[in-house]
Amino acid sequence: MKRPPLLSVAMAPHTHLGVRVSEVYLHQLVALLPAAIGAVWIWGLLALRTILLTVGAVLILEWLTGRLMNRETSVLDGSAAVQGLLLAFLFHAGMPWWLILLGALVMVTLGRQFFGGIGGYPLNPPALAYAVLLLSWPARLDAPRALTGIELGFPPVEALVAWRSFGIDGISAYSLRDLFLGAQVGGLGATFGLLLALGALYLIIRGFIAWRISLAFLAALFATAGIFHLGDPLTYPPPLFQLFSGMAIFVAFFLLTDFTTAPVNPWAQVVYGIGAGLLTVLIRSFGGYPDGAIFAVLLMNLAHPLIDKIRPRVLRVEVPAQ
Amino acid sequence: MPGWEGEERALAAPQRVRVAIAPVGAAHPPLQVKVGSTVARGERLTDAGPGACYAPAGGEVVWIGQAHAPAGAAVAALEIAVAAEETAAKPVATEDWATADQKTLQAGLTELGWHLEAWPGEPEAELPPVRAIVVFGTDEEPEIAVQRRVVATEGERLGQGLTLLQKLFPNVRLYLVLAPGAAVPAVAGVERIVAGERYLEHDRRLLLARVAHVDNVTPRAAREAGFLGLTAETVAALAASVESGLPRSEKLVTVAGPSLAAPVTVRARLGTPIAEICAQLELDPSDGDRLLLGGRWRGFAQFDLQAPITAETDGLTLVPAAELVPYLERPCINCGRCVRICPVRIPVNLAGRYAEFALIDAAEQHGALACIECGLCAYVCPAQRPLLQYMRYVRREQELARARALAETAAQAGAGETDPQDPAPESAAQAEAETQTQ
Repeated sequence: MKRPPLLSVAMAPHTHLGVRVSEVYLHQLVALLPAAIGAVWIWGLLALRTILLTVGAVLILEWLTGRLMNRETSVLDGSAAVQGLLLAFLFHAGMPWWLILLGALVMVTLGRQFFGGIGGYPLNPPALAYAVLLLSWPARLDAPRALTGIELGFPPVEALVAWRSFGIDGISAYSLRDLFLGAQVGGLGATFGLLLALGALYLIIRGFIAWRISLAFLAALFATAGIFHLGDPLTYPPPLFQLFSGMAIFVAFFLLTDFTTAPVNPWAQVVYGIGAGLLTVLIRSFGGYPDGAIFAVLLMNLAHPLIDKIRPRVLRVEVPAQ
Repeated sequence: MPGWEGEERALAAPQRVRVAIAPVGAAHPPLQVKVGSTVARGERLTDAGPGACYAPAGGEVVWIGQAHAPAGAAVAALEIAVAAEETAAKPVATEDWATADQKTLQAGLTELGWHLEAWPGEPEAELPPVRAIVVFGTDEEPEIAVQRRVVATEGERLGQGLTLLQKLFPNVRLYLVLAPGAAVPAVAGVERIVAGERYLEHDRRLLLARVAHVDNVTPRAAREAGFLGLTAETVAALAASVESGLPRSEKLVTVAGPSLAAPVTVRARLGTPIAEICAQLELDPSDGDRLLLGGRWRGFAQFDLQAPITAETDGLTLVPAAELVPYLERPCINCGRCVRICPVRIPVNLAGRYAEFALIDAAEQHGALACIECGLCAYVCPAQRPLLQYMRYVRREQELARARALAETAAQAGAGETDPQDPAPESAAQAEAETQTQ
């Protein structure tokens, strides 16, 4: 007599929607592709080298550290690749190779693996790695110095640096259109506002990123910059200038929206975005770093669990009245 | 949701039936039969009283021992080898019940094995009087079509049953939950609730909460506040039982599986082993498949093909191994899909993590006990985390802790007879019962 079958026993539900983590991150990669192509178009093969080196280093280090820490490999879920690309976007085209590797190392170890990989880290990994490099090698991250000798079709100084150094008159050479189309010195992909926005629109329509955070950030940044500009137009640039220069759009759609470090509840997301927008303008105006967006991200990351307490109350079991 | 118009088939009489007597450790009236006794269909197997059980088929008692209830709790059970020619027990005379008063009706129904007011597994528990009854005329799971079929094809019986309920429980509010477009003979005094197309609109806990004017309720808490939940099939079976004078012995079950183009509803004898239904419908479970009592959203996986159909079984589903999704302990990416879809607003991302690391108190604080076990959180999780299992784990741990505390207090107060290590048997029965409604 045939033995009875060995049946699988597990808890309900016995069905699934079919969405996977790798699918979520694949869509983010697709959304970042236009900006990557735009970066290579503006900055040439140097940009391609930076991107490939960064992403490759991140993937290899992720796999290596996973093996060393005896952890199940997470390279295939796509989050390391996406964050590698985001880190590459923060670098400028002329980054020395050893600095790229260091940045990748900091991101993979301090940013991700030390905290348990995806879902466990408190600070946005690309932002953290970039901030560590910025604080440790400020000269190397100074784009104009690294890019001397490269023919550019636009002013060779970052727009925000021009404002801080030369005042309002110093930014007259920057047209809003150029800024939005990536004709500005800065990170590779972090400055191509139009292509980033297009990619982000795709993600928002498909429901893959939290649009409330982005919208709240951009609105708060615009409003705060607007208030400052209205208060003292001779010192503070117009709000659209603040919106399009530097990495504001990049931060809005791709750094602040990282799942692990962002709130999940809608009003919490709004508060989070507003906080980041406000901080960005404040740091840019009064802080020591021309583009405060990165530090605004890190500061809001620290506050995110507290902000995420802004959520509707649970519908707990009640004993009905007699 | 598929319509109820799926096929209905009658099954051949089973060769064996298994009857659960009571959860292990719970009190029950003593058995009147032993191995070798011959019983008739509908005959009472135990002494009369709360918790008495009846034979769904006639034949010879061949085994008495321990088995498992659908959700896994251990139960005392017996098996009857069904005779080729079954004898039926002498029917109770019910002709004059139409004009009988409430007390007579109550006593008569007890003789037929109906204890609607009691909590399953705790026949002797003192519960407050019923003040509202919610009759569920819809199914909780999309692929199951039992209650909707009863509403559509046994409308008259259902109406008779509702009238009986009104007699049994005078001055009690009666509600009937129906799918949109369902037509039932109108019974005066029954308020209709139309539940829509979406999965959650048929969740029985949420429907009970709605009737009781609270946000969320457990079936037990609802019962203790006087709100009783019954399925339409139970109510129709009540009327059929009164008409025949015999206890209930049949159950409608929706069967789904790869050999069936569409789910099929069968009329099975209570206690029929799953194996026999599979054989008759050419469902051939092989290694690695999952066989559920229930549907894909809330069903309980069975390991024993001899497990029987019970009065709470609405579905039998065979999920082939290739369609199974492994829910494993992968890290949460904090995407928030679970939080957005939870109908009772549990921060599942947080509660799930706490449960994963066995921080039960923290999980409770974050609302894990509010879970209505709809399974939607796990369904949408990209990381495929066993979220529903985490919530049930927290609930189970809380029950065990409560039972331990009760046992300790009893041990301290009494002569120390109770072993503080064993959770009280009531909690096992309660856990089993909480998963089902009558």
